[in-house]
Amino acid sequence: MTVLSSLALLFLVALSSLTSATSDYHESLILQPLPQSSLLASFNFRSNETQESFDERHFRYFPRALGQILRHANTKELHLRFTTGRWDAESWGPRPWNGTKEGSTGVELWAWIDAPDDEAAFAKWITLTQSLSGLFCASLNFIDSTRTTRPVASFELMGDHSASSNLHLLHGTLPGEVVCTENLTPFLKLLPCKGKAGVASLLDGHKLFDASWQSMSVDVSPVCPHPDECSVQIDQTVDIVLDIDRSKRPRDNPIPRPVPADQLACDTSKPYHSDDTCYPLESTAEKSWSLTDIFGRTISGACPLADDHAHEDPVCLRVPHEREVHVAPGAVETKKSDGFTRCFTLQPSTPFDLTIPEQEATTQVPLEEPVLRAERTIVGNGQERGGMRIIFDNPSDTNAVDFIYFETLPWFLRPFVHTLQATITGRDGVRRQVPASEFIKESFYKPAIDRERGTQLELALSVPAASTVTLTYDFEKAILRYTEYPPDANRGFNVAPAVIKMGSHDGQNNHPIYIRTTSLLLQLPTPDFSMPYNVIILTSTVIALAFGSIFNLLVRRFVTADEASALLAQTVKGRLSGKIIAIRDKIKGKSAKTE
Amino acid sequence: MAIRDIVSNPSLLPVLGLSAETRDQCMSLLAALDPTVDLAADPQDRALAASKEQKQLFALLARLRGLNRDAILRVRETKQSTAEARQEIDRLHLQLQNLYYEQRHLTGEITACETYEHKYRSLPLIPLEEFLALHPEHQESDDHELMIAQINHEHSEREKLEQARQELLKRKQALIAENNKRKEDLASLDQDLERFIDVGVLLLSCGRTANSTRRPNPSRSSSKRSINIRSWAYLHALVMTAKNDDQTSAQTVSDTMTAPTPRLPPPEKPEAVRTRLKVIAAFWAVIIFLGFPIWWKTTSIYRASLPISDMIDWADGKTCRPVFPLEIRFETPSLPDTEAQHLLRTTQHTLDDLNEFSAHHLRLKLSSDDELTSPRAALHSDTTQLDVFYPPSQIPPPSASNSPLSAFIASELQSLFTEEKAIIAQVLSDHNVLGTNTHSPASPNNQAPSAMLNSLSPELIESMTRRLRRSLKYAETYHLAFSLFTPGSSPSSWDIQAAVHDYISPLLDAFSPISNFTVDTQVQLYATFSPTAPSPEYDETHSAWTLKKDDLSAFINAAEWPLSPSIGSGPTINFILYVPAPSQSPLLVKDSLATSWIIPQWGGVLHDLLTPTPYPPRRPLHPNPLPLRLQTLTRLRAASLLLSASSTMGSLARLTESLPSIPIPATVATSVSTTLTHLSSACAHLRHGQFQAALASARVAETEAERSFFEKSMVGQMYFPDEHKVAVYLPLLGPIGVP
Repeated sequence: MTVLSSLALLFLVALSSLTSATSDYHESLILQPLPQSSLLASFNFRSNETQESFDERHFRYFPRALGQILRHANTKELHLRFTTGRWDAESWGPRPWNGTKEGSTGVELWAWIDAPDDEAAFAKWITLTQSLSGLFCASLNFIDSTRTTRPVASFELMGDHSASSNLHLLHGTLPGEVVCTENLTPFLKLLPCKGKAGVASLLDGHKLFDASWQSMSVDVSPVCPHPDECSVQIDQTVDIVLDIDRSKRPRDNPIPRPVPADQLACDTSKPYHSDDTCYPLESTAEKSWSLTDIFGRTISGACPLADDHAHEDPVCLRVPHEREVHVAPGAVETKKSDGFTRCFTLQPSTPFDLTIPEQEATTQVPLEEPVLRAERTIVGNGQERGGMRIIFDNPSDTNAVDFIYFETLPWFLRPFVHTLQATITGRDGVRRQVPASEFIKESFYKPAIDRERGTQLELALSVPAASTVTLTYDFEKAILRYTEYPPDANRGFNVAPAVIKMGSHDGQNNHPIYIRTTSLLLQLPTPDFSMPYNVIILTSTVIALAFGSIFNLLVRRFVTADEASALLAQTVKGRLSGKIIAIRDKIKGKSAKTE
Repeated sequence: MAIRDIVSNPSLLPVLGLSAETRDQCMSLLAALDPTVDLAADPQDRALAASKEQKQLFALLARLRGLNRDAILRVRETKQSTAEARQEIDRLHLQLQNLYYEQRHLTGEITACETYEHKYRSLPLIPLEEFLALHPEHQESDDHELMIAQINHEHSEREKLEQARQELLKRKQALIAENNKRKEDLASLDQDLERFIDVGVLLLSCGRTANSTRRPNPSRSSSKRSINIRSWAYLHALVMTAKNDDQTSAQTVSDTMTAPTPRLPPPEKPEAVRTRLKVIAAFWAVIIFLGFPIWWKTTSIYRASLPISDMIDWADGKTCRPVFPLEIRFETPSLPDTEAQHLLRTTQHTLDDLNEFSAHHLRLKLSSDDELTSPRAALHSDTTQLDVFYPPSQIPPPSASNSPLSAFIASELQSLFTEEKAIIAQVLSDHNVLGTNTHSPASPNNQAPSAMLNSLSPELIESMTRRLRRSLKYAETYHLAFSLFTPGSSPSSWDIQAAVHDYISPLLDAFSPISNFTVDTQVQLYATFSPTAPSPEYDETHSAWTLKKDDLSAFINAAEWPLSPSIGSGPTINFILYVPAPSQSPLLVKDSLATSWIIPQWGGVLHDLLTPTPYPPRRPLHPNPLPLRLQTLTRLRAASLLLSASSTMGSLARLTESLPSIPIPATVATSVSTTLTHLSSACAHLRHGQFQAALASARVAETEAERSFFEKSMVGQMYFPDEHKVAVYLPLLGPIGVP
C-alpha cells in the first residue's frame, strides 16, 4: 500500500498544479454537396505535443500508443493512408486537400526514419510496419522488401527537421487491403475526444464505409514555428464522399424502393404519358438532407479540448448563401465573404444538427477544373505478356503541366522500359507518335530483383497545354513458385496505383498536388494446384511399372509350365510350401478321423 | 424525241391530237391570265375571256379524260388477250416436252434390252465342234436352236455328274462310320488291357507280401513263389499279345507301368546365374548406398547434442544449492580490539543458535582499517548501519560465553532479516529445490525450507505469498505507464512531468542496478466503463458512490482504454488515476472505503477524490530502510533468476527427450552452454556473497535460457503429423509394392 499511497501523492501533486501545457488540439468538419447527389465530408483533427514532452514520453493529446511506436522505430515523420473507392474527378472536380491527404486504394505508408544507414533504416521500417499493423488492425506487416521502395522525388518532408538527422524515406503500399471498421476504431482511439464529442462523434463505421469514396490519413511530423520551440504534430483526416440517397435509407430497410406513384414527377410532354405510364422527371431541386439522415447521429457537442485560438469554427458548410439551412438552437452561424461558405460554432454538450430542406438550385458552388487527369490501365491479352497504358490529360488550354510520375510494380511484373512509347493527342483528336523523351525530362528507374524488391519508376514529365499524352510500355508476367500463390490466385494480383505529384499551380503555397490512379488487377498464369500430388502418383506408377517389368525380365528365368512345377519343388519355397500342405493334409486327415 | 415517234398506235393518235389541242388551250388561257401582257384591258373582259377559255379547256379536258379511259380499257383488253395466247403456248410447249421425254425413255429402254448380258453366255460349255460330234442331228439347225440344245446337253451332263458325286459321298460316309467303329473297338481293348494289368499287378504285390510275411516258412513260400512266377509269365504273355495287337496301346501300358518322373529344365548357364546375381546386387546396392542415405539425409532432423544430464541436474537443484552468506561488519570505534572480538564471537554464536535455516546465514566480521576500502562497506554506508547503543556495563567480560548484549544484537539482526529469509525460503520451496536434497545428514542447521516456513507465523507467510503473487517476474526493463482517465472532458492535463521528476526518478535511480525503467504518461478523456461492467451504486450512509469489491476486476475497460503494453521487451506496470465524473464523486470501494487497489502483476488503480486539501507530503514508513531492502531484492532476484533459468533448462531437457521429432539447431546448444556456465558462476558468486555479480550472471543465464527455450526453428517441425508422411510415402511406395 505504500507504493499506492505515494502514488496517490504523486497524482495529487500532479493534479494540484494543472499547468497549461503548450500542446493544443484543433478539429474541423467541412461539408460540401457535390454533383450527382453526393456529399463530401472532410474531417480534420490536429493535435500537438511539445517536442520536449514527446521525448520524455509525457503524452497529453498525442496518442501514447503511436508515440511509442514512433520512438521505437526512430521515425521522425509518418504518413499513413487508408483508402477505399475511387474519386470521380470527372464529376467531383479536384480532390480535397489537393490530394495530399489521400492514399492509394488500400493502405499506403511512407515514413522518414532516422538511421545511420540503409540496412538499419529498413530494420526500423519493418519494426514500424509490424507495430502499426498491430495498432491499426491492418495487414501492414505484409509490407516487406518487395513492396518497399525509396522514392527519390515524389514525396517531400512536411515538417521541420534538424539538419543533422540522417533521414531515410521508405514507402510501401498494400493495394489489396480492405479498409473497414476495424481500422476506424483504432483511428478514433487516437483522438483526444475519442469520437465521443466534437465532430468525430459523427464517424460511424456503418455509414463511413458505405461511402462511394473514403480516405483516412494519419500524418505525424515535427513542426517548428520558431527554431527553438518545436512540437510534434499529428494530423488526422477522414474524407468521405457519401451518396445522399443511399445514406438516407434507413438501416433496418436498406433496399432501395421505387418512388410512390403519387410522388412521381412525370414528363407530361411525352406522347405516351397517361395515368399508368410515366416518364419520371429529374428533379431540379437540390436534395434535402440533415446530419442525422446522412450520418445516423448528431454531433454531440463540441470537444472541450479544441481551443478556439485560431478563431475557426469547427463545422463549415459550402453551399450558396441563399440556400436555406436550419441548425440546432445555440449554434452561431457565420457567413463567409466568398458567398459559398458558412460556418457554425458548437456548444459543449449540446447536440448539433444541421438540416437543409429541398430547394430549387439557383447557383452552384463552382468546382475547379482538375489540373491533370490521369488514368492507368493494363492492356494486352494472354497470360505471358501485357502492356501498361497511362493517359495524362491536361485540360488547361494555356498552361503545360509539369509533374512527377511515380509507380512501383511488383517483381512478378517485369516491364521493358525500352518499349516506353508516347503518343500525343491534341484537341483536334489527331494522334501523333512522338519519342517519349520529348515529355520525359528526367527518369529514375530501379529494376526489380526477383523475390527481393519491386520495380521503381519515377518520371519527371511535362504535358503540353490542351493535349493528352499516352505512355505505353510492355511487360512480361513471371511465373510464381507453387507456394507463392495466394489462396485466391485466380482473382489476380493487385498492382499498386501510381502517384502523381504536381507543383502547386497557383503558386500561393508550396504544397504540392497529388493524384493517384486506381489500382490494377494483374492476371498471372496460374497452375493447377493439385499438380504436384498428381505428378508424384503418376511418375511413381510409371516408374514402378516400367522398372518392375524390366527388373523382372532381367532377374527371372523363363521355363515351361511343367518344368516350373518341377523347379518349384526343388527351391526352398517349394519345399516349404510342400511341407505346409503336408501338415495341413495331416490336420485335415486327423479332423476327418475324429469326426 | 417527239412524242409522236414513241406513240405510233393509230388508236392513240386522236388522244395525242386532243392533248396537243388542250395544251394550246392552256397556253391561251395562261396568256389571257397573264397580268403583264396588257394591263390596259378591262379586267372584266379579261375575266370573261378567261372563263370562256377555261370552259373550253374543261371541255377539252373532259374529252381527253374519256379518251384516256378508252385507252386504258383497250390496254387492259390487249393484256387479257395476250395472257390467253400465252397460256395456250405454254400448254403446247409442255406437251412437246412430255413427248420428248417419252421418246428419250423409250430409246433408253431399247438400248438396255440390246445390251442385256445373259447368264448363258458365261457358261463354260463344251466347244461347238465337240458338241456337233456328239450330236450330229443338230448339224443343220440354226444358231439359236444349237445354243438351246447345247445348254440342254450341258444341263443333263451336269445332273449326271452330280448324281455320281452323291453316290461317292455316301460311300465315304459308310467308310468313316466303319472306321469309327473300329476305333471304338480298339479303345475298349485298351481298357480291357488296363484292367487286366491292374489285376496282374495286384496279384504280384500279393505274392510279394506273402513272400515277406511268410519267410519263416520256406516251404509254403516256395509254393507261392511258383504262383508268382506263373502270374508273371502270364502277364508277360499278355503284354506280348498286346504288343502284337496294337503298337500304341503297348506304349501307354509301358508308360503306366513306369512311375512318372518330372522332367527338369535344362541346367542354366553359369554366366546367366552370374548376370542375375549382378543385377540383384546392383539393385540392392543402389537402394542401400544411394537411396537410403539420400532418404536419411533429407528426412533427418538436425539435433545438436545437449548436456541433458547437466541440465536436469540443474533443474533438480543437484548442482547448486543457493546459499546466502551475509557479511555484517562490526565497527566498534569505541571498543578495544579484544573486547570487540569477543563481542563478535559471542554474537555470532547466538546468531547460529537462533538460525534454523541453513541456506541463509549471517556472518559477522570485524572491520579493520585496511578493509574499509572494500566496496561492500562503502555501499550505502549511511543507511545500512544499525546503531546499537548500550551502557558500558553491558560489555561482556572476556570470560563470559553469553551476555545480554550479544543476545540483544543477535536478535536485532535476526529480526532484521526475518522477512527476507522467509521469502527466500518460500521461493526455494516453491521451486522445490532443497526439498529433494535429503542426501546430507539431517542436522539442525540443514533443515528443509518447509520446516523453516513452518516455524514462521501464519500472518507472515500469508503476507509473503501475497507479495510473491503480486510481484512481477524479473525483467531487464520495466515500462511504467502513468495514465489519467476520466469519463468526461476534464481534467485534461496534469503536471506529471515535474511529479515524475520529483518522486519517481529518485526511486528508479535506486533500482537502476537491478533493472532499467522507462516512464510513459498519458491523459485519456471520455474513458467510460465498459457496458458489461456493473456501475457504481450510491451509498447513503457514506454519501458516496461505491463499487463492490468483486466488481473491481471489471473496472478496467480493456476494450476501449488504450492501455496497450509498451513496445519492446519487458513488462509494463500501469498506474491508473481515475477521476470520476462529478456526478459520481466521491467513488469508493464498498466496505473498505478504500480509494485504490492493486491488480497483481499488472499495476494499480487509484480513484482521485479531488479533495480540496491534499495530503501533506510524507515519506512512507517501513521497518527496513530502502538500501537494505534493495540489497534484499538483489539477493532475491538473483535466487529467483537462478532457479527459473535452472527450471527452464530442465524443461528444455525434458522437451528434447520427449519429442524426438523436433530439430535442435546449433544456436540452442551454444545458448545452453552459455546458460550453464553463467549459472555455475552465479552459484559461485552467491556462495561467496558477491550478490551483484551473481545477479549479473543470473540475468545472462536467464536471457540465454529463455532464448534457447523459445527458439523459433524448434517449433516448426513439431506440427508435422504422421498422416502427412503416409500421404507422401504411400503414392511413392504403393505402386512398387503392388507387382
